[in-house]
Amino acid sequence: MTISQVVIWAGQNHEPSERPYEVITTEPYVMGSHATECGAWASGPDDLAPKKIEGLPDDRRYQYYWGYNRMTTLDGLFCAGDACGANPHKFSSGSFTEGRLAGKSAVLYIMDHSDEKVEVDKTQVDSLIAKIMEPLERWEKGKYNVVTGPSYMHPVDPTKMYWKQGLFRLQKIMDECAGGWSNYYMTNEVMLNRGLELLQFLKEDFIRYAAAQDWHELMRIWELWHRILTAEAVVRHMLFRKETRWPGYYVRADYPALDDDNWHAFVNSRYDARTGQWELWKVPVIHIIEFP
Amino acid sequence: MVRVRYVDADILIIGGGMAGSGAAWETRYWCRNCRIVLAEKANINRSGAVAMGLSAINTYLGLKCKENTVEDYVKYVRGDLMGIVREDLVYDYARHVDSTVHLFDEWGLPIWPEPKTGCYVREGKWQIMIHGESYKPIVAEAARKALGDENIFNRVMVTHLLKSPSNPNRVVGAIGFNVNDGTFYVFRAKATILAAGGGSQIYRPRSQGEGLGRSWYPPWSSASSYGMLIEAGAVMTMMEARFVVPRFKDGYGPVGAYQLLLKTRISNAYGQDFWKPHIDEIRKLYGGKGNYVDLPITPTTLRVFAQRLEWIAGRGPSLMRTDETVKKARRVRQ
Repeated sequence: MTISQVVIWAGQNHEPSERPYEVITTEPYVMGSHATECGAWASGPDDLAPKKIEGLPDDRRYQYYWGYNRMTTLDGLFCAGDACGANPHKFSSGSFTEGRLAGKSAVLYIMDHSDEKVEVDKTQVDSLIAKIMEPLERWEKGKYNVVTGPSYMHPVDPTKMYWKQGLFRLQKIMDECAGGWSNYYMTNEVMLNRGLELLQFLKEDFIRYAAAQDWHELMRIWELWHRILTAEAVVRHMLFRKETRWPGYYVRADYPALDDDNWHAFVNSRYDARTGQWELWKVPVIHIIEFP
Repeated sequence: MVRVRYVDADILIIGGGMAGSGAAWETRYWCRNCRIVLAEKANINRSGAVAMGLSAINTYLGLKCKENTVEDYVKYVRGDLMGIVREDLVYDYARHVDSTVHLFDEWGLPIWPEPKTGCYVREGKWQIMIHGESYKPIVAEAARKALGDENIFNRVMVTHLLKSPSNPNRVVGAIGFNVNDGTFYVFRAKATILAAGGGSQIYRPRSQGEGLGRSWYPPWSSASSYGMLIEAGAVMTMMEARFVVPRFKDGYGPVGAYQLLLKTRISNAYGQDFWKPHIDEIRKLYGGKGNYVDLPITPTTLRVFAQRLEWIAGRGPSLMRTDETVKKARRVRQ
């Protein structure tokens, strides 16, 4: 039993041998290592992955294998643990194992590409640093715009968004529109589209107003950005899959049943940061073990 | 003034949790002469989802003791996800996962032994029991020794991946900054292993002002894995499969030890079974081609759904009958 649970039991005079205790489902998490499978689409191992799936484009977006185990669709980028999708139930030992698999594969990759020179564009680096620093500068330049607030964490300030304000806003959108606990994990197309609309406003405001008072808050701000991007992917995927496959996790109330005829498939996606466009598509599930 | 440090490496590992530690250990095994560096937002000794420790290892097949087969494991995982998994990927880690656990054993992680057989004490069909408070420091020590502490960059949060200027599909490292002193790090690497965390605190947590930040998955799991992948244009999969876990209310203590090891019952508020009243409806809606409802181990998502139907009908909350288990244990002892 964890310390946190026992502390709560002690604080509530709860004696587990005398009384049962409530079990409840948590808020949703986006993960690839537990009983779920969010993450990057990756190449499979040489001896197990279907080599070329006939009838599908010869393209990493659709295929299961492109030479290096656990390499994402980007060259030289490998994934492990929560980062790697479509292979759930790794937990702690499996995540370490997947790290090992990706590691071995990465070594093979650098041996195969030993003559390749790694080049990094100085201009790209400088502009990224400027972008990462922007929330700090926004605070520095505009700290006298703060209207009020004895609370350090919640200054009232019409020209800035601090990390906690942005985070709470994200959580409200996701909870109310994308099947959070306040709605008994139910959603539909109308709610999801509304969520998407609100997420766009949040993204715009982040770009314009995100502010950080110190390095710690700057970390929180960039964590928030990662969470916002992830949330958008989640909503777009939920919109795309027109069925309810995992009713305990969420119910698409407009498609309340499982539909193996149309949706026994992976949903894959790609975001183009330059155009801001998303693409989503289905990829068939190839069973290498007899099904069912 | 921004301080910038360039770090050149053969391999960059982003994140020093369980996956990143595994990558550190294995890359060193295969490449003694490589420069391998690891960036970790916290400190590797207590970072990632295992930071606080664990009471069980949930994936151990027991191939050595012929407890399970890899095929059965793949079937189980596929069933739990209602038919949709990359079986090649699952099979691949499953066939190697026992060797990982044996390494942990060798490194000093206390795993409950089964004295008669030389195997481990089972919590459930796939789970084994550990004394896991120091699980992460033990694993981190192996990663630190593999890379050398001078190659582990603690307190560095990586925020963006770097692309090659001549090939937009080629990742050549990443950029981040030290969250204490603000030094920027530009990692240039021939290969990059992304092993950052999953995402908590994306949805409104159940614990709010009164217990802010309290969640089952740790609050520092900031979805950085996905954020960086998405922004870099990697193909993502199954992002709709975000999930919830049934746990002891508010403390999020593990329920596995009670449910699997002690076979404790969960009932509705009135002591009644939550599953049987709904099984016909669930079979009709979610039976599917894989007969998911009648698998040897009922998928978690369906058990959770049945409980929720009870809550919506006003017969909640679900109750873990710890009282029954403890009374039974007392009777056995007497």
